[in-house]
Order: sequence, then structure tokens, then C-alpha cells
Amino acid sequence: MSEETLTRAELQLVVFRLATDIYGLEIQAVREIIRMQEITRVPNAPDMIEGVINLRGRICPVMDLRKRFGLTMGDATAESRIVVVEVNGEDVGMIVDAVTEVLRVPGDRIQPPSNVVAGSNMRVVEGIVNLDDRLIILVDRDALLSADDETVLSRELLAAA
Amino acid sequence: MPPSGIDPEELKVFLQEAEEHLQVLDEDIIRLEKEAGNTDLLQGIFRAAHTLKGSSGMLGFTRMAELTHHMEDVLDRVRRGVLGVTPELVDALLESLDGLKALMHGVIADGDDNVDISAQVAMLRAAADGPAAASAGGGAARATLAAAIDADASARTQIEAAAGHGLHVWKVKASLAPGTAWAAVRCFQVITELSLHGEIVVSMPSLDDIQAEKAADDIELVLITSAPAEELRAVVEEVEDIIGALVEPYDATLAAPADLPAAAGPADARGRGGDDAARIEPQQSVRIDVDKLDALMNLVGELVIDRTRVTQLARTLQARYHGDATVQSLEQISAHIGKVVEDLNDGMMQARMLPIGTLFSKFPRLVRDVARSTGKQVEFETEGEGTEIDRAVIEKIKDPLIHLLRNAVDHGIELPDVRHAAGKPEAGTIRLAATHDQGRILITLTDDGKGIDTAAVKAKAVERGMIAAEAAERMTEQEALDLIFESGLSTAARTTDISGRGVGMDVVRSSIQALNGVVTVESRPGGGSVFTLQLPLTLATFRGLLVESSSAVYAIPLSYVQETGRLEPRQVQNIVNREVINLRGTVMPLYRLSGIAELGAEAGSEDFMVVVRVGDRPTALAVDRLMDQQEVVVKSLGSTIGRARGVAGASILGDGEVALILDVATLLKAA
Repeated sequence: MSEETLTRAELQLVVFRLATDIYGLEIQAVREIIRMQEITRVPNAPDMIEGVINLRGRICPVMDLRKRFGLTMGDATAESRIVVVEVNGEDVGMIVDAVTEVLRVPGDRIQPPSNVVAGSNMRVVEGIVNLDDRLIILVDRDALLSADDETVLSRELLAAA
Repeated sequence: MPPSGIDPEELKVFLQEAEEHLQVLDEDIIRLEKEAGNTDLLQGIFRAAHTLKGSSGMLGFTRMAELTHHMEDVLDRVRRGVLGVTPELVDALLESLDGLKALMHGVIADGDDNVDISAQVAMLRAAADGPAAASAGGGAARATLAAAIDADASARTQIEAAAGHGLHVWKVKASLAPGTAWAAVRCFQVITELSLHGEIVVSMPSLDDIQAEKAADDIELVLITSAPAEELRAVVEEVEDIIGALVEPYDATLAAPADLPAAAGPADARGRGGDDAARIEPQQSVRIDVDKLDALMNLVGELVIDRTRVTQLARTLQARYHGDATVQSLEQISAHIGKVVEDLNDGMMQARMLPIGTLFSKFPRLVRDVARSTGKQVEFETEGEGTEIDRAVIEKIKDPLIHLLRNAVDHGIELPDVRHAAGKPEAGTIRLAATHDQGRILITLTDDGKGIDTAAVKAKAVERGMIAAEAAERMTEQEALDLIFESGLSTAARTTDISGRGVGMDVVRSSIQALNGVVTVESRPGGGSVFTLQLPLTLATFRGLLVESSSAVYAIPLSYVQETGRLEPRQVQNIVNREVINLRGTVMPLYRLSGIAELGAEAGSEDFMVVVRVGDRPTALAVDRLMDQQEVVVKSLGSTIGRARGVAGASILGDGEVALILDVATLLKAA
């Protein structure tokens, strides 16, 4: 994967914020970005699932990315958004604190996560985008829904980079 | 091996057609046993086999072609009057049909018909040679078995005496995997295993032959025992390399060589499903992929939701701009769209409907097989095959119905001599009927067997600690009958000692309830039993009661709802830390929906209750508010959430809000 990541020409990323960290998702993965809306909680659903919403007549599950990444929980603000991502052929919403921009990133700016992160618990991190003034954590959407790994992205990760 | 270059479309068409031919064969071969002289029927079977042979050969499925060729061969001889329709011949044809199905599955799974069919071919060859030929076929083996008994006076006496002692005389036939290197060992194992369960009068090959390594591809023996046929079959099937075991009552007269012409066998399962009146007329139709249909259905479901929203918007606008011409025409259009969407929805439902006959037609074979292996005589009748029902429902009621049918033959219908002694016709009648009733489907399964012995059922339940002895005494007949659906009773190992219906009735009930259906039983000692399944026409929508709890909306299928009302605090009492309410003398558990849902959300006022009934037990659910009754469109929660206990799905309400559909049965089981 690292080879491939390194040789990619250019990426277009949807950049979002969770707590103070900046993350990026490849734009092809993102179906749409909607404002926060009322989420119907589902009893006995997996922990990371916040509930379901009505996405234009379809039921769409929504997860809280803070919870997924083991960050402290925060309240929804006017900036909070639901990023709807297609994972394994199904739409899943992800609550993020804010969507900041859409960015073009040259492929050589992406480092494999193995340089900064060790262990299998970082499967959701596809790479780190180093833009000199800041670091963007590139999220692997396909790994987002696998609940078996206790992925905790912490500040130390960025400090280490 | 098929040529690798089969066009996928061509293969698909072939498989669809083959499926249809197999279905026709399945029904018609069973009918043939009953209507041996029906040349049209025979012609039809022959044609189906012939067509299959042609099309499978063309695509290079050589084994399928070979097997159908042998079937055709046998059928041709029957057609020419060389062979009579004997139970053995029908067995051979049915076995071959199973072989064809296995081949088909091979083609679907691996793209090749790579299944061993030598056993079926051997059976067909034997059948084609006719019973007179002394080949290794089933008919011949039986003749020698009979001859062996004929020659052995003490064996005859034993068999005659057995009947006097109320023991079974079973003829057991076990087929070995062809070419097994252990034939003698396996035969020996069969004999030793069975001799633990009774006395073997005679066996073919005999123990001496086996020890001399003179074993054949199958072993036949006559066993005197008190054990039921099914148990013996299980014993035999336990032995390695045994690919088939047949246990049927030994009938001395049947084995006599004189009894060769076409005749119905001891197991006389008759399918009347094929009555001309009930036959579904071929109609002009197009095939459509089920997935496509489901996708369309989903779109229509969304349209139904939007329709409701548009109607509400139009009303709001009408209230705000009363008399405005534009708003008025919007309202007219909205009303028209509403009508069209409703018709579209109905049409879509119709498109998903299948006549239930497509399911019923599979059962005559099943009944015949079970009857034949248990030594029962059964008349099987079906009615209302044209009744249409959602294909999703059809798929889900298949297994429960199979279970009920097996039970009816195995535990319901008595053995012919028992029936005779009770003054009933020797052949029992099992009747499966479907009708529409007030927007639901009613399926009734009636047998005229011995009925359910409620005293024995109660005794069993007390013995297993499911109910107290005093409670058992107070039970009404109906309450005692309903015990058969309890898991403690029905998951018990074989319960043939009580006439209770064997294994898995709790599974039947939970499968039916999962469809928002209800299953009930009535029974009369000596007179038989009636099982009634009430099912919804479709799974895509249901009538639901909307309630609010902890500011979330839940939909409860009306099929569960017994009554609703205000929850008075003085009705609530505590028994062993559990809340119960006393409703007009009936004490039932009270669950607070906010608590069961385990959402940790703040509980509301919980001033109202919904009394739901799962099986026989009413339970009160405390809710904050009772809302509407409405048609609820079922949507899946998706694979990301998967199965959330207590939630059967979600629905979108007219105002766009999401309501969760309560899975009442599992919710209460866990509560």
C-alpha cells in the first residue's frame, strides 16, 4: 500500500476537523455533506453507531467519528456536519466537527503511516499528508467500519510526526 | 465438463428452464404413482425429461444428459406398457430427480455438473429391467429377501408373532456409497447397530455372506423391534458410507413375486394439488430479476413517503393562503399524485405476489417420502393454490410448513392398523388450505390423526419444570395445547411417547411471529389437529401503531397489539422487583419502553400503555404517548448496523421523522 500511496500523482481531499485534529478523506469516497440533523438512536446497535437519519427517504446510519477515533465527546455546534461516505456499497454518515475545505495534494506529500504509527490498530490511517505548515491524517474509508480494531488516534501521533 | 464458452445469458435461460422442468417433474411423478393410467401425464413427464436431455446435452452437461437419458428410457418403457408404475419405479424416478437437482446446483455453484450420479443411473437401470430381472436392483433384492423368508419357516413365525406383540416389523434398506472399499464392513456395522435395537430376522446379504466378503451395494433386512422407523433410519445413517436408508413396514404380501403390476405402495401419499381446476393457467409473462423488482419496490416506497409529505405541505399552504388559485391547483395535483402513487404501490405489491401453489406444489413429494418411511398411508390434499402472497413471505413460511407437515405425518396420522382399529379409514388425510381473510392470508393444516394428548403434554411440561403441577391442573385445554409451542417442551429430544409434536414447534412459532404472523393450534383427541397460520400479505408494509417513548417514535405491528389505554399508577404493583399491572383481573408484566430500549435517555411521563400479546402471554408496554395507526413502510437498518436486538427495521413518517419498528417478540424475550 505504501508504494502505491507514494506514487500517486495527486489527491483531492475533503478536509475536516475533529477536536483539534485535521483529517482528510478522498473526495471519491464522499457522497455528500449535510448539516447536522436530529438522529434517531437505535437500541442495541453497535457502540460506534450514533443512530439513523432520513437521507431523502432512505435510512442512513450515522456514526460519531470522535467516538470511533477514541476522542473525547463534544457537543454538536453550528459547524458540525455529517459527511456521507459510501462504504461497501452502503451510505454511512460520519459526524465531524467541521468541514473546512477541499484540497488538492501532490502525491509526494503523502507519507505511509508506518513511519509514524506502529501496530495494527491504525488501520484507518491510510497515510499522513505533510503540508509543511500542518499535517492531515488521511482516513481509509474501508477500514472505518471494522469495529474489531480499537483505533485510537491521539495527539501523540501528530507529535511523533 | 461443459465447453468453457457458454454464454452466461444462455446458461441463465437454461437454468431457469431446467428449474421449471424439474418442478413439473416433481409434481407429475408423484401424480403418476396415483394415476398410473394417465397417458397424458406420462407423456408430459416424458417430454420434460426429453427436453432436459436435449438442452443439457447441447450445453455439454454430459452427466445431466446421461441421467435424463436413462429416465427417458424408463419412461418410454412405461409408455409402451412394458413396465408398470410400481413404488420402486417411482422411487427411482424421484431419486433421479434429486440427482438432477444436485447436478443443477453443481452447475450453479461451480459451473459444472460434477456430481456422482451412478447410484441413480443404477436405480433407473434396475427399474428399466423391470422387477422380473434378477439384477442387483432394488426390486430384485426384495424378491430374494422375500424368498429367504419364504424358505425360512422360523422367520415367518417370528414375523407373525411380532404383530401379535404389538412390535414393528420393519424392512430396512441401506444403500452404500458406490465403490466403497468397505462394503462388507459397513454392512456388518449396519447389522450390529440394528441388532442393538431389535431382532434381525433375515438379511440380504446374510451375515455369512458378509463375513465371506460377499457384500453388495446395498443391504436389506427385516427387523422386529419396538423402535420407530425414524430412529432406525438415524441409526443406519450414522454408519459411514451409507448414502441412503429406507425404513418401511415389511409387508409379506407385497414382497410376493406375484405382486408386480402397477399399484400404489404402502405409503400412498396422494397429491391432489394437481387437480385441473386448481392448475394455474399459463399466462403471458416476462421474467424479471427479483433484485430489480425489489429495487423498484424501494423506489415506490420512497414515493409513498414523499406523497404523504406533499399532501401535508399542500394542506399547510392551503391553510396559510386560503383561496389562492395556485395553492388550490397544487392541492388538486397533490391529490392526484396521491391516488396514482397508491395505485402504483398496489400494482407493485401485486407484482411481488406469487400464488401460494408454487410452494404447495413441493409438498406432495415431502408427504409421500415421510409417509413411506414411517409406514403411514396419507391422502394429501391442497386447496387455494391460487391465493396470492408476497414472495418474501412464501420463502419464509416454507420451513415452518415443512416442519408442520412432517409432524402431521409422523406424529399426527396413526399407522394403518391403528386407524383401522379405531374405525377410521386406513389412509389418513392431511389437508393444506390457503385463503384470504381480511387483508391477511390464512393457511390451515388439518389432519385427521390422533390429535394431541394434552394430559401428556402437561405431564411433560411439569416434568421439565416449565410449569408447576398445580398450574397444570388449572390449565384449560387450549392453554395446555399451546404449551407445545414453548421451547422447553419442543426442543426436548424425541417426544414420541407423548403425542406432542416432536421437535421445534417453538421455532415454527418464532418464525411465523417474525413475519408478524400468528400460529394457533386446535386439537381433538382421536379426531386430529388443525394448525392455523395467519400471515400478512406482504412484508414490505404493515399496519402499525405509532407510539412515543423518550421523545423517539416507535412503530408496533398491530398484529401484536391487544389493546391500548391509559396507565394508572394505582394499577402498577411490584412483584419480586418486577413491575406488573393488574388489568381487569389479569396480571401481566409491565415493561417501560424507555428501559427496554436501553438508550439511557430520559424517561418521559409514561402515562399510556400498549398491551401486546406474544404467543399466549400479554405484556404491557409503558409509553409516553399513543399516536396514529398507519401503514408502515419497512426499511432495513442496513448492514452497518446489522441486527439490533428489539428493532426489526425503521420507517420514515410523513413528516420525515424516522420511526423504529419494534421487534416485539425478541424484545420481550430478552426483557
